[in-house]
Amino acid sequence: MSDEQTVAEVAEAHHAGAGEHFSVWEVFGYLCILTLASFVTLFMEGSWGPVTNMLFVLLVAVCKAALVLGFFMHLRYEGMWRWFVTLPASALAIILVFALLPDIAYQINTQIAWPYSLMTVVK
Amino acid sequence: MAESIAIEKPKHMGLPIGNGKLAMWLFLGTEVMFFAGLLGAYIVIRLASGSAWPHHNQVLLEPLGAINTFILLWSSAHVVFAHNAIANGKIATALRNMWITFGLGFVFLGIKMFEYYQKYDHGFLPWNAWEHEGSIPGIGMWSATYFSLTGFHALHVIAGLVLFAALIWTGMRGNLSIKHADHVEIAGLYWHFVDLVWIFLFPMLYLV
Repeated sequence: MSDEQTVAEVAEAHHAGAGEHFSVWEVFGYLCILTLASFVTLFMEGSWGPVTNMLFVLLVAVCKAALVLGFFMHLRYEGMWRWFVTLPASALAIILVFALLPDIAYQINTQIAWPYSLMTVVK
Repeated sequence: MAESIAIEKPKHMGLPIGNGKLAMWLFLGTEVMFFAGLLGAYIVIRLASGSAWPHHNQVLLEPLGAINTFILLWSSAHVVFAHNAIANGKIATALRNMWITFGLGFVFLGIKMFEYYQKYDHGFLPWNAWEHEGSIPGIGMWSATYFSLTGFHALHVIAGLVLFAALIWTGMRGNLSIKHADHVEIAGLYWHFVDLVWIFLFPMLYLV
């Protein structure tokens, strides 16, 4: 392999991977369809119920995030380094939410809504 | 024909990517934790509030959130086009796509400003929303979290616009070249991240 690469070759390698290609408009189309799907839930909330609705729109959001990360940010075509850089932050972000669950449970069990519970503690 | 640029092989152990790109990814890692903290706090407050929380149709226009999502996704597509173009030596095409991204960023902010004006008009601001607690329970806390989340996101949009403004300025002076492909990619990574954050803010604020 040559020591010199053109920037175009490097960029092409980033965007195309090992012979893989993607259409930007195609990915954009999927993202629009997914956005529309989550927007339509506004009219389905009555029949689905709030929990199903929440799970569905969050699942759609995760799918959209995966498309943006994988194609637009071309993580799909990067080497193993992507895991070293992205996993710790992603894991901490998820752990943080789970770490806050006891506080949510406490607030719900006390049946006192924010910010009144905070005011009670302050008093 | 693309001009040839010599890219040195790393002379030390490390990741097989440029320093600038690595720095941006590490920075984005800290940004993930920043927004995870904000969203985590929002989830705690939202779930703990139970029914004492305004329904989104009381305080937000959901179609505006969907339109803003579409605008950011559209702008992200043009960032990819800009990077592809500049990497292939098509400077004018790259510049045109960066202008489109820049314009769409302003449209996003314009819609956001309109939404903020509506909140101001209705008195749903963090410092006086408590006055509406009787008619809309939880509006004070909702207002504080809404402005915190969308405000910090809007600041990130502005930062992204500054990055693209610098690149466009370089291009308008005729100094943009294939050597700036990495700059466009790094600015693009930041812009895609801003898009990514909104992908989660939109359902959490406007749909759930």
